[in-house]
Amino acid sequence: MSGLDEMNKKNPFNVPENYFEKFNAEIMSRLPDENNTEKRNVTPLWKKILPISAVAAAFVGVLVTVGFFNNKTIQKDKGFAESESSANETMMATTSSASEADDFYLFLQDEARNTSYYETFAE
Amino acid sequence: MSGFDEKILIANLQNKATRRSAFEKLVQEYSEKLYWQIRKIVMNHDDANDVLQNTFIKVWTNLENFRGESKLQTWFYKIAINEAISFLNKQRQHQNIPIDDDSFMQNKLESDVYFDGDEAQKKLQQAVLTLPEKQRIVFNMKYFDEMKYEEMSEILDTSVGALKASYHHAVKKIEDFLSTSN
Amino acid sequence: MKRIAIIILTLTVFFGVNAQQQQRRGKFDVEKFKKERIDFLVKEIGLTDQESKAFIPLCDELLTKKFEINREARRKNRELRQKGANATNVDYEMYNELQVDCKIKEAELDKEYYKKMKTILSAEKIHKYQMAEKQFVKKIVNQSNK
Repeated sequence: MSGLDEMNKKNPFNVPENYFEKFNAEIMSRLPDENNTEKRNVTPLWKKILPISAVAAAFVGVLVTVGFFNNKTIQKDKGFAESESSANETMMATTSSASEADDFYLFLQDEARNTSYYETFAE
Repeated sequence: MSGFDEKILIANLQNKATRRSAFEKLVQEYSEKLYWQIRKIVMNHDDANDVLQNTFIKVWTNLENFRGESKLQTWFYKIAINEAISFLNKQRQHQNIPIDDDSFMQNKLESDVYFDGDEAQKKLQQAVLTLPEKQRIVFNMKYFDEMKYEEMSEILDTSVGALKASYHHAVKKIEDFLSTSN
Repeated sequence: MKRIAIIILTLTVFFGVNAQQQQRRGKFDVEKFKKERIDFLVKEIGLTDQESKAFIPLCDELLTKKFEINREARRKNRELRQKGANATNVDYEMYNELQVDCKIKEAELDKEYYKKMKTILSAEKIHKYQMAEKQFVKKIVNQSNK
């Protein structure tokens, strides 16, 4: 049995002639320019205003998220058995302004329901 | 490269004025070593060339992020190995090859024109290709490059103990492969 | 910077408490869902960094495409209901066909992405992914129903 210790450890792979010399020249010509380091110390005006507007934007964002500006009332779902009808009602209510987020959640509900049905029957 | 020389090189790399010439030194010093790490992973010379270029470009664009927490060589090896593995993954994806399909790599070895080993060496390479990817890398580093476990541990982000175990498994698998195929 | 963070945090807590009293007045946070999903999947499947890089975009794509199909069906359903008594036989037929086709499209997508996933993950991990994906959606929907 040929033990690994007795084997030839020499590299059986080779490269084209002068490969490494050519490579070194080629890679240097391929390097992208280093322009980004020149703009280091100049803070653009917009960056200075950013922290303050970030607070303002975050504040407004919080208000939107909690539905401060949202006058619709969305029905709370009542469990799987009844969710079909309430989902339909929700769909009716938001027909004209069905947002992606609402649609996405309804999609998740469908998927969850299918998983539950499958698990019930698969038992 | 001595610790002192390396510190100077790093300083030159992070200084815009001296960056290019320092990088050229880097390429001269490390391109061959990195090439062989990559070549042993991707098998094929043309692919290795592509990955080597990507590696150096990645190094170049990330020079400012290098803080000197590890040796330069360790950092380069990490990038090179990651690029090589990503490269293989992309190739496999494009050709819709399942991850456990051995023939993909064996074919690369078979069709490699820049291989001039004898029959025994070819068998050994085929044996190495039967190892899972990470184990293959560990084996190549230990067996062919005779790298120390501590260095491997830094490059591969794996404990010395785990590496030793991996290497011993690899040796056993290869010896089994070689004895059954004779 | 820290001051700003404290201000935002205080405001969020204030309005957040307010929000809980209003039950589900707010919109469903899709971005938060997506992020939590990724964390969950990575943990449940045990994805390595390499695997995550390749796999996460794939399963995100699959989810998005399924959602689009589902959304299409949902839109048609709304249209149908809007028509109410005015819905013609043709309308019903088109809707029924769409419902059935949707299932086929989803299944085809599943197969297509399964093939792609096979090039990145072992069979065991793909199985774990399929389990985890379903469990996570159930979890989120159940949470929102409470």
